[in-house]
Formats: sequence, structure tokens, C-alpha cells
Amino acid sequence: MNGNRFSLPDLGIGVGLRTTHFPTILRRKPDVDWFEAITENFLDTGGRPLRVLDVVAERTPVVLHGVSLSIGGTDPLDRAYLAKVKALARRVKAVWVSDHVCFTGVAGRSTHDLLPIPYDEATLRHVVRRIREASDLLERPLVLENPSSYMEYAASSMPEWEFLARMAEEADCALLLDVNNVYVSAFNHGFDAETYLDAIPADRIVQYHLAGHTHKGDYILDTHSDHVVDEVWRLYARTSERTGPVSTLLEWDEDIPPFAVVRAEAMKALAYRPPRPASLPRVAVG
Amino acid sequence: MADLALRRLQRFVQSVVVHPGETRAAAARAARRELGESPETVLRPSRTLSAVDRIGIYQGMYLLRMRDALAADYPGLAHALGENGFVEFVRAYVARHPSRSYTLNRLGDEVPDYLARSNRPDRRFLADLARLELAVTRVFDGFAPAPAAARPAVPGPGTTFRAAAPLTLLALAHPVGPYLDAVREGRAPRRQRSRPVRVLVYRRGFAVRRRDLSPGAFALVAALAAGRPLAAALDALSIRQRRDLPPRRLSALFRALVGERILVPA
Repeated sequence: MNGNRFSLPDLGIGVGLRTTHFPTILRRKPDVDWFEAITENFLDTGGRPLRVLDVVAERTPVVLHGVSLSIGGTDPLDRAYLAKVKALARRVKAVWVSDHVCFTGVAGRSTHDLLPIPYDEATLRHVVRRIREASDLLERPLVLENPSSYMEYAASSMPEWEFLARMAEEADCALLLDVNNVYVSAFNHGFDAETYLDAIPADRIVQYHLAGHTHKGDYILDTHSDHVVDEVWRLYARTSERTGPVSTLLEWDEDIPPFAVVRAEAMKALAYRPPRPASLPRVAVG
Repeated sequence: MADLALRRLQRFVQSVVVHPGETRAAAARAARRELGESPETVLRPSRTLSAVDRIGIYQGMYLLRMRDALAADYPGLAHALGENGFVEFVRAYVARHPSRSYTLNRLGDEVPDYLARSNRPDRRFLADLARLELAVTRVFDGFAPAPAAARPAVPGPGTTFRAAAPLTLLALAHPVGPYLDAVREGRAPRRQRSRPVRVLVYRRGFAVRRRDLSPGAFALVAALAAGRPLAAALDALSIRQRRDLPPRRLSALFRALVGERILVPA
């Protein structure tokens, strides 16, 4: 299968825009197809980070990836925050805006973590309602990512993949499928990663995430601190067969190596995903 | 799970995640208070970890995340407190001033005042160091004012000025700038004796710079940055401050302010 129901383009292979790589990225135009910027890092700065993002966005497609929407939270959606996200997305012509299926805090506090939500009918209705509200405020479809997690609720009545699939259908949102997160959670919770991937509606997947992790023995921590393991590449290849070539991004957030190493790791994805049809040109900026 | 039940569940999780103490007791207390249950009836164990172990992973990461965020904004303070001391500081600080923002950039806003109110014997030095570091962060992230439409060719007595880029003026009781410089450059920092210093923190391009000012220069820059006309700003200086700014120094100050585009005619 090729294409998604949102007509969002296959941007090719991208990497996360990280401060440590700013000098390299500014010195020469790196040969990557696109960048993903952490939304919150650019919302309240008028200094160098925003200037760098502006420069990058002038020459390379950019996607905004947030960590603070708290779509599964029970505090009201932060409209001021969403207004800033919307303005930034316009400024840098973000191809899409994504965040995570999680909650980040409650009662006005933020833990700045992606905390899991229970997967049951009432929570599903709650999240679907908030996705619609957030999409209306952003005036664009929201793209949501499956989180990695370390605990499960007794109240959950359906597996995570069923929750995600139903959420995407009922809220009519797009999905960012993090293959490493599936692998991490599969180990931590003891489910089958292939069952998970096969249950996600292919036509709603508009982006893949890949990353490394840290095996702690009893559990796996989603650290984004290493190369992608072979099993995650295999899972990526398997799900890519269903979706066709989809925008793919490598995340590396701890012990970040030089840009060339991150880029080389990202480009490995080309060997695991179907080739882009020759008729589809690269996405242009502007 | 209805919204109220979901909210209670989330309050339980958050209570444990942000708790500065032992996980098991925190989880038991929070589960009882929020849900009338035990952690084991709320969370599932895995093949290898208990329910409490699993939520404990989030609790451990919370403190590390807060430490990393504050260390990024306060490298000097982190050095001054030492590795363990800084972690203990972070634990106490975030318990008192937890993040209430979507961004971690605001987490450290209360650090200088928090330190000043502490009972540490070196609190004044640490609070001054934190004030300087917070000023650097704010100037780094500040938004430059929109450029003025037209400027007088030659500034006169009635000329007003404005900051061309974000700036902050600090009056401190300790010369903490050299300490921060040493930490940043990987040299062994030395705490200098208490003496009043006045510091201008400003941005040129996207680089944050610092300049020590004499009392007269400090008062003049503060008045000009506040929008007072040049003549009025000079008139408002005290006799001591004027003595501090003889014509040669005043001229040098203006050359620096205008040359580095710290202040420009409004």
C-alpha cells in the first residue's frame, strides 16, 4: 500500500534537530530530507534556537514534535500553548504537528514525562474528544505517537494497539508510529510486537520514529541514546511493507554523537523500507 | 474510566512520580488517598517487576529530568554545590516549586529567591550566582525589540534610547562573573570575597555578553534603558555617580553602548 488518507507526503529520511548539531547544520546544508524539531524548545525563545530553526525551515521541510500537549490529561487543554504551537507551525511552515498519546501532569503541574493512560472505553472517549478539540484549535489534523511505557493499569480493558487504532478512527487523526517504542513496550509488558504493528491502520500512519534504547535487564528504557537494534529494523521493515514508504525519522537524544553518525544511522532506513516510487519527487520547501 | 476516575488515577500517578522519598510508602499513601486502594490493585506487575517497581521507574526519571534541566540553566550553581549537593538541592527545590509550565525553561525561575531564603551559610553567594545565571538564560532567550522606524543622526540632550537586544542590569553583592567564567571554561573556580558589583548582561547577535559597570555607569544605563532622555538621565545622577563618570569615561561608555549596539537611539 502507498499513501495515507491525509495526503501527507513521504518526506523521506530525517533526523531530530538538536542543539549540539546547530553549528554543523548551519555550516553546511546537511544531506537529510527533513528535520523534526521539539516544539517546546522553540516556543518561548527569540534567540539563537529560533533563528536556527528559521534557517533550517527555509531550506528543508520541518515537522514539529511536541511533548506537552497532554492529550490524555484531565486538566483543560492549554489554549495559550496551542496558540503558540499554531503560530510556530505557521512560521516554519511545519508539514505537520505531532505529540504523544499520554498525559504529562494533572492539577496544573507538569512532570515533563509521557505518562501512560489506561486503555478503556471511557478514556478512549475522553481522548477522542480532546483530539478533536486540539485539531480544531490548531486548524490541522493532529498526528499522535504511541508512547513507550513501563507500567500498565489494571483498569485497561483493551490492548494499546486496539486503543490506538480506534482512537485514530474515531478522532480521525493521523499516527506517528514509533517502532522502537513498540519494541520497548512489548518487552516491558510482554506482548507481541508484530501483533501490535499489524493492528495499526496503515493508511493513518504518516510518520515512523526509530531510536536506540537501553536494556536494563528487567526492563528496557527508551533512552534514544544508541544505535537502532536489529530487531527494531526488522519490525520497521515489516510495517513498512504494509504502509509503503513513509516519512521516517531517527531520534538520538542522549550521548549524542556527531551529526554524521546520526545521519548515517538514519540513512540505514533506506535499506529497510520500500523504495519511493520514481514518480514522486522530493518535497520542496515553500 | 469516567473523567473523575481518570483524574484520580492521574493524581495518584503524579503523586508518586514527583514524590521525593521512598517509592513504596509514597505509592501506598497516594493510592489510599486518591483511590481508596493499594498500588497492587491499580497497577499490574510485569514478569520481572512489581507494580511499585514499575511506577518507581518514572519516579527515578523525574528527578533526573529536573536535575538535567536545572543543571543546563545553572552550571555554576551545580558546580558550587557539587554533584550530590546539587541533586539534594534539586529534590528540595522542585518539591517547593514544581513545574507548572509546558516548558522546562521556566523551571528555574525561582532558584535565586529560593536560595536567598534558605538557611545555608553561603546563601548570598549562591543566590547572586543564580541571579547572574538566570539573567544569562533570559537574555539568551529574550525577543529583540522591533527596530525603530527612524533615528536621529546625532544624539542630542533630548534623545531617548532603547535596548537593541535583550539586556538585564544586576546589582550583586558578590563578583560571581569570574566564578561562572571559570566553570564554563573548565578551570577551577574561586569564590571571591563579597563586594558590590554592577553587571550589564546583554546580547550581541545571539551571543550573551557581560560587562561590569561602575555605579555611575550602571545608574545611567538603567535610566537610558528605561527610556529617559539623555539629558534627564545625566541630570538624575547623584554627585557621587557623576564623579564616577568624568567626561572621558562617559565618552568611553557611550562608545561602547552605541558601538556594540547595546543601546540605540529610539
